[in-house]
Amino acid sequence: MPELSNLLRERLGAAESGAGVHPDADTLTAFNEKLLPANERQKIVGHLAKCVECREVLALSDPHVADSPMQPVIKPVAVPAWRRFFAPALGLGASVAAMAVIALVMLQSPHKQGPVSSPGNQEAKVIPSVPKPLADQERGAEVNQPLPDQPAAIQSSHVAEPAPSMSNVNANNVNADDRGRSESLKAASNVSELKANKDSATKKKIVPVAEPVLTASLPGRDFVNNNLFAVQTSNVVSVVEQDKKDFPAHSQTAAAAAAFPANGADKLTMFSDIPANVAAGKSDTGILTPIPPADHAGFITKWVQAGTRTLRKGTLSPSIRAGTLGSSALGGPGMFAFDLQRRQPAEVSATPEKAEAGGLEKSGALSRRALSSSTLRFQESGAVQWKVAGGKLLKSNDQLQWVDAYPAASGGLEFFSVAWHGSDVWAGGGRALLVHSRDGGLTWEDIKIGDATGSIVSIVAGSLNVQVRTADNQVWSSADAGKTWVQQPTGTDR
Amino acid sequence: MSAGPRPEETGALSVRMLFEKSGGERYGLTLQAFELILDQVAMKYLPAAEPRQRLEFCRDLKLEELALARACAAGHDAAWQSFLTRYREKLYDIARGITKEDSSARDLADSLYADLYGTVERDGKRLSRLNFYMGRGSLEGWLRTVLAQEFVNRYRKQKRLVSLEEQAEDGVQFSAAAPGPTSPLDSRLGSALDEALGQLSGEDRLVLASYYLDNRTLTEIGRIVGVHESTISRRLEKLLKGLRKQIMAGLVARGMNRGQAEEALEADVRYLQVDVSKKLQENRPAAFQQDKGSG
Repeated sequence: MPELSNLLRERLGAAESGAGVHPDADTLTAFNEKLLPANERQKIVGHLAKCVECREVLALSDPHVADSPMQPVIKPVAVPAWRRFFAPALGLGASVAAMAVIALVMLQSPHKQGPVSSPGNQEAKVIPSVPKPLADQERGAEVNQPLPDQPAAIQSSHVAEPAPSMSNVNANNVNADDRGRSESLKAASNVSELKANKDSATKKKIVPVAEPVLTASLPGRDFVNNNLFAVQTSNVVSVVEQDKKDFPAHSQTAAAAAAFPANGADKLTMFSDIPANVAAGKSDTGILTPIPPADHAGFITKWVQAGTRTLRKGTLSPSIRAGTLGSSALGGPGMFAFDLQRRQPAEVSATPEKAEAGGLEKSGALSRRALSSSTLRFQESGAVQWKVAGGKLLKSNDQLQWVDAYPAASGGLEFFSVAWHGSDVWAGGGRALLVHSRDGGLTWEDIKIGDATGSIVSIVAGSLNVQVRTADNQVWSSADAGKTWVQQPTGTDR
Repeated sequence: MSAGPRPEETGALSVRMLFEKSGGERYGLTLQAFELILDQVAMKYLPAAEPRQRLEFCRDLKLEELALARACAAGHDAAWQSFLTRYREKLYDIARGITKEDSSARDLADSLYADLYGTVERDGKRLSRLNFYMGRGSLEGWLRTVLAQEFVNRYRKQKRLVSLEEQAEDGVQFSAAAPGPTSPLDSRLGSALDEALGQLSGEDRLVLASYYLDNRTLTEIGRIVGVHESTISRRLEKLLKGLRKQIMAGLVARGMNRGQAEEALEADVRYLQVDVSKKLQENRPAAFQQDKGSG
C-alpha cells in the first residue's frame, strides 16, 4: 500500500505539531528501562507517537545504540605470512626464482647427471663418458689428415666416433699404442703430470682409466652430427698441430688404418659381429656416446684458445656422460645417443667417479655387463698403467716414468694394443701375436689364436672373456682366458 | 489498630529505611537532607498523592544513585570520587556511541561534565545538573538520556546555523522551489485518514511514526515498544490493512461509493509523487494536444 504509506507520512507528520510538554530525562529513562507504571507509560507512548524529538532522544539513549561501538574502520585484514607466498606478485617472483634455480641446475647437471637410457630401445645401453680409446684418438687426428687411400666412409665414420672427454685425455697416456701418436702422448703426459699432482693431493681420488671402446658398426651415418664432431675434433687436432714440433712423427695411425678393410658400409665393423656377452648372454645393444659440446670440452678448448699448454688443476672438468651430452647438445635427453646395431657389443669404458658407480648400477640405465668389472676400471693412485707406444708395450706405476714391459719385443715385434684387467694383461702385436701375463707383467706367455691373421689392433679383456680383433677384420673371442678361441662372424660375413 | 503502627510512624520509619538503603551517609548526606530530596521527587511526580503513596513511590526509586547524585550536586568529594570512578569512562563511551566520533564524543561528554559539576552559581550555590536527577531510572540511563538530549539540542542548533557555503554544498540554494501548499484531491480523504489514525492506540501510532516517519528498523521499534521485531512486522501489516479498511469506510460514510474511494486512495500516489499526467501533457505534441482538446 504505497499510497497509504505516503498519506500516512503526511498526516502523521501533521499530527505531531501538538505534542505538548516533553517528558523529562528521568521519565524517558524510566520508560526506556521499562520502569514506568502502565498508565504513565501510555502517556509517554502517546507523546512519543507525536514527538519526533523525544523519539530521537529515546532512540539515541537506547542502551543497545549508545553502547555500540563506533562505526568500525575498515582495515585490511592481516594476511598470514605463509599466505603471502601465494600472492600473485610473490608467486610470480617465486616462479621466476624457481625457474632460475632449475636453469642453474640444468646448466650444472652435465657434471652430475647420470646416464639415461635410449628412449627408443629398452635394451639399449648408454655409454657414459667414453674414455678415449686409442683408435678413436687416432681417428680424430685422421680427420685433418686423412689417408689418401682411405675411403671417405671411413673418415666420416671415424668422425662419428666418440670424441675425447677429460677422461679421454688421460686415456691418451694409457692406450697410445701408435708410434704416430707420440705427439698426443707427449701432450697427454702433461696431463698425466697434472693428474699426478692432483692425485698426490688427493690420494683417494678415483680416476677413470681409459678403456677402449669397441667401435660399433653404424648401419647409417644419418645419425652423426658431423659438424659437432668436426668442430670438437678440430680443436683436439689443432692442439696436436700446435705442438706438433714437440711430438715425434706418427706412423701407427696410418698403418693401423691402412690395415682396415675398406669395404663400403661396413667399414666400421670392428667387433660388430662379436656377441656382446657371450658368457652371460646379456644385452648386446649399445649406444654410441657423442662428444661433449665445446663448452663441455673442459680444459682442451681453453687450452687451444690460450695457445699455451699451461694447465691448471682447476680447469679439469669431469667426464661428460651420454645422457647429459644428449640433453645439452640437442636439447633433449637421448637425442644424440643413437642405437647401434643389435648384437653389437656394448662396452662402457669408463665412469667418471667411483662414487657414482653405485648410482649407475641402481639406475638401470646400464646393463650389468656395462657395469661389470671388466669394463669399469678405476685407476687408483699408484696402480699400474699400460700403454703401447712406438710398438712397445710400456707400463708405469706413476704415469710419469714408463718402462718397457716386454723387452722381448725389441727383436722386431711390435705391439699395437693392450688391455688389462687387474693383474691380467693382454697385449697384441703384429702377426696375430697375443701375449698374456697373469702377474702384472712379470711373466708372459704367448697365446695362439687359432688361425688368426693380421696384427691385433684391439683387445677387450675381462676376467675370462677376451676378444681381439685383427687388422684382417677377424674377431676372435675366448671365454676361458685364452685357452680356446672361437672366431666370430663379422659384419661382412653376414 | 493498636497492632499496627500509626501512619506517621510508618512514614518516618520508611524514610529512615530508605535513607539507610540509599547509603547516603557514605556521601555525607544527612537524613533530613535525604528526606527533602524524597519530598522533592514525590512532589514532582505525585503532587496530589498522600504521604503513603509518596513513600511507596519513593521506595521504587533508585535510592542509592539518587543519594550519590544529590551528594555530588551538594559538593561532597567522596561522592564525586565515587561518581567519577563509576561513570567517567562510561560517560565517554555513551557519548561515543551517540556521536559515532571520538572528538565529538569528548566534547559532548566534557560539556555534560561541566553541567553536572555546576559551573554556574546562583545565590552562592553551584547549580549542578545532577539536581534534576530524580532516581526514576538508573543514573547511567539518565546520563545517557541527558547526553542524547544534549546531542539533539546541539544538532538542532547547528542546523539553524548552517553557513551559506554549507547550504551551497548541500544544494539548498539551487534546489527547486518547494511546491506550494497543496491540498489533497479530496478533503474527505484527509479527514477520513485523520479519523482512522485517531482511533489507533498510542503504541500503534508510535509504531507507525517510528516506521514511516523516523525510518526506524523493526528491531529498533521493537526495543522501544518492548516486543520482538516480528511482532512489529505483523502489527504494521495489520495496522495498514485496518487503516485502509477504516479509510474506505470513512470515505463511504462521507458520500463516496467504493469505486470513488479506491480512486481517491490511488490518486494520492499521483499527488504525492509526481504529477505524471501533467508532465506527459506538457511533453505531448501540440497536434496531439489539439486532437485531445478537440476530442
